[in-house]
Amino acid sequence: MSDSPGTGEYAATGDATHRERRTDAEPFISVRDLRTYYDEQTLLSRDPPVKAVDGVSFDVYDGETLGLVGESGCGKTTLGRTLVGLESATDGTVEAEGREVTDLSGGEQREWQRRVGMVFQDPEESLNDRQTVGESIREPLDAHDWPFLPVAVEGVDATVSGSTVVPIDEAASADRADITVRVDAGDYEVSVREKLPLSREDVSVSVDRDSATVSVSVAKSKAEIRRERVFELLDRVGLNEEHYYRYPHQFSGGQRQRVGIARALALEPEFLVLDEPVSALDVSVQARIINLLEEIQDELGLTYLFIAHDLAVVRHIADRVAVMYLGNIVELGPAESVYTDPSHPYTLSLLSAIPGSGSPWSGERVELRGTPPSPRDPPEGCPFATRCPAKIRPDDPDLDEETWRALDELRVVFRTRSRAEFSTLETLRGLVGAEVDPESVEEAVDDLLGDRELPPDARATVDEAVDLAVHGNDAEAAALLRDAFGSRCDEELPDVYQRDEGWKHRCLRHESGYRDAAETVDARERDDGN
Amino acid sequence: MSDDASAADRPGVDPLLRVEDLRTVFYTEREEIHAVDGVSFDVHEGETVGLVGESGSGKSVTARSILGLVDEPGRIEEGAIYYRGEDLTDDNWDTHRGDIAIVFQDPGGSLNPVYTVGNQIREALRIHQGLRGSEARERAVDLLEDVGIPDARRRVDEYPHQLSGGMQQRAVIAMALACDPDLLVCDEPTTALDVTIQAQILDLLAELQREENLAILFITHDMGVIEDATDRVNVIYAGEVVERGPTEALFESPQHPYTRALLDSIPGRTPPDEQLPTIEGEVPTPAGPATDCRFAPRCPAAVDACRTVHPEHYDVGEAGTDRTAACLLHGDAHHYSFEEALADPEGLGRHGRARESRTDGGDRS
Repeated sequence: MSDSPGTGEYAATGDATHRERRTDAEPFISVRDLRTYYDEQTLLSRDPPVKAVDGVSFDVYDGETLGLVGESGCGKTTLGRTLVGLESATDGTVEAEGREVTDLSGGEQREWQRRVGMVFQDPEESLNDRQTVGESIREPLDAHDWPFLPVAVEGVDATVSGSTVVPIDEAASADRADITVRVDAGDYEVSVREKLPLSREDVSVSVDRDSATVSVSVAKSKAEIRRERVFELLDRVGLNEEHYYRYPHQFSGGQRQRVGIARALALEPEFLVLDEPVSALDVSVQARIINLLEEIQDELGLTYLFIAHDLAVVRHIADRVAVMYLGNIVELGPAESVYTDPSHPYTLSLLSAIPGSGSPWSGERVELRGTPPSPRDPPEGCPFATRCPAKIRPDDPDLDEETWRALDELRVVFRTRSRAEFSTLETLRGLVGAEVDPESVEEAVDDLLGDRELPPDARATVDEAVDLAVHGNDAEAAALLRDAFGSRCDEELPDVYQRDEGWKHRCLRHESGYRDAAETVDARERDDGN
Repeated sequence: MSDDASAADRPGVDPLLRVEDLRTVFYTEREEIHAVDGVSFDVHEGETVGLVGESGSGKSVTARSILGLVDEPGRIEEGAIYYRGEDLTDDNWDTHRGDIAIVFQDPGGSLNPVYTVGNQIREALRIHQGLRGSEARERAVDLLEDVGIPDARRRVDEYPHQLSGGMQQRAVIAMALACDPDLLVCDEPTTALDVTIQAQILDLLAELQREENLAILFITHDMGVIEDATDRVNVIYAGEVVERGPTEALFESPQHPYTRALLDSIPGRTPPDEQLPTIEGEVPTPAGPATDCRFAPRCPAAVDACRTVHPEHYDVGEAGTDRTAACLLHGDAHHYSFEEALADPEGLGRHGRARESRTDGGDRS
């Protein structure tokens, strides 16, 4: 959603009824009009690109958990991977502290990779079965040559020397230093950053005032420090030292996920993308991992993007929630607000589909028809228009509600047919100009319209569309029906509407003159039209 | 779903399916695993019975046992599976091959990728109903329409990969219906599907049940799905049913500590700002006959006796509702409520039960 500066500061003003908010939160990351397309054009296929992420804008605030929900194929995983640099953005910007991070190279990219981490649904994806768990967690430390051991010298202007340590850039603040040497008139004082598995005793320092040099040597090798770091991480995620030497296959699913989390934490990141971290786990194990993630966040002050299809899990862990459909964010707001009073018909449908009494939705289940369209070929207007239970119907006094819905569905059938991947045989039939089995078209029409009375104009249009479809022109048939019976939702991509402070959605029903989504769905359930 | 939740209470009516003390054992080189260890339940005509448990609880092995699909090194060692009064374990599976159909979690695995959907349904129709040619074709299209596949006449000629996951599962259900079964065993039928698609499939199953008076045995780990989809439910833990009852009553007031803990750990049932209650430890692998309560090491209300006595099922509901729990809390010796047991474990005669504390806090390997 387009999020002009200053409008999205929910975290600063949010309702205090939910979890405590970090009141001074700044965006850690600002995403604007981000697009990630997969283009697999080869000599043989000229398919349009898969528009996995198709123009999303949002902020993630320092220290918060932003939940990202949606069904498989909606682009939520691609979005997460793009933020941490595992996919390249096709267009748009991702800024962290004012710096663009999608297009970094060399040292800057490595620096960004240290600050962000990712936890995957299937821990096996990030664990090598031939490596011990300790080696797996150590791998990012080795790859980045952690620790870097930057040394800051305070009090005098001096050069730093030493084989394993690096001098810290003076401009950079001393709080990034692992080792600080404070020199005053007659003496000096050494301190070591607390979070490092290194004590003051491991560091020996000599100060040569004449040549203005401070030489620092560290008694422990980097390998030792890394090992101890891994032990700390194992402990942090609820495992222990003996697990270092075991192999992933000796672990349960919950333990493997703990290892995945330890690995993601290795380089002391500030921001974690958690991609379905508990979906593969049993409910009792899932609860333990969720609690662990919350503890770690509080302790280390981390910022989370929590991606999941399970809405109950997201409600539990997230401060704010973004709902994604077909590459777009259709609603974003404070979790409790969105869950108790959804604005977008898709959010409403998702909530109503949660089974059991744990569901926040008390009304009837809204059954969505069909499946999401292909992200290669998203609908022209609102991405949700082909399935929306609250779609705005056109002003056509001659068509009753039922008939209009049937015609709308017929259009979706033609649209689906025109997009279907044809078998080789069908493609060949098309090439030699053979006709489509007319019976199948007629049956589809018959199925939906039956012996419904259509106004003469409408009947003529339908006949024309059927004729086109019988000759294999499904796309034209769909277009014809769209022109005749389509609604605003088929033509306009809805703007971002602001419902409340920090609560936005993209549904045309927000405009005055329309009933809101929940009322519409309710009324249609009762069948009194719109 | 049938309205009378107390279908078990019909006097003089034989259940469609009666599983009695079923024991299925797997023999590996190192150990024997009692995957299903004395499971009993009934399924009556037209009702949906749930079997809910975590992975490794033995619920899928129960399903496979009913269908006669247990492969080496597994064997049904004891117990009976009566279908309309006839024991299937006396090698009667082939006589009832079409009466019981199964729908698995992964629809892709149930469909052959090299044949069209229509081919596969026609094959089932030929075997089970002797239909051939255009008759079979028409029936296949009808079945696809029955399971809510739009544009069925076109879809019948498509290959499985051309259908989405939800459509594939519908096609699998259509194949299952092609045998005209009286009992449909659904083993995690919606687990691989998105929540809106899951809702569609649950509605479809409920509708088919109404129209065909189909009995459904619904197996899943998802308590929410069980709550919506079943009339009666059996909670299974480490190969044993630990609690059973009408779904609504069981969810309203679970009587076994495991059921209680399982329900508590679902995120939707705890306020977002509170920590989720958890169950420490893991589901054990039943490596021998039970001599104790298998949940005792993880149970917050366990007493000394729980480690030495294998609990039988006690009635915990209104008479005639087939509502039982296998927990000593409900035995004659104690009969404490769960709350009382937690508040005053000493009162149960416990003397310093060594509570297993985990220094690692993790799930033990």
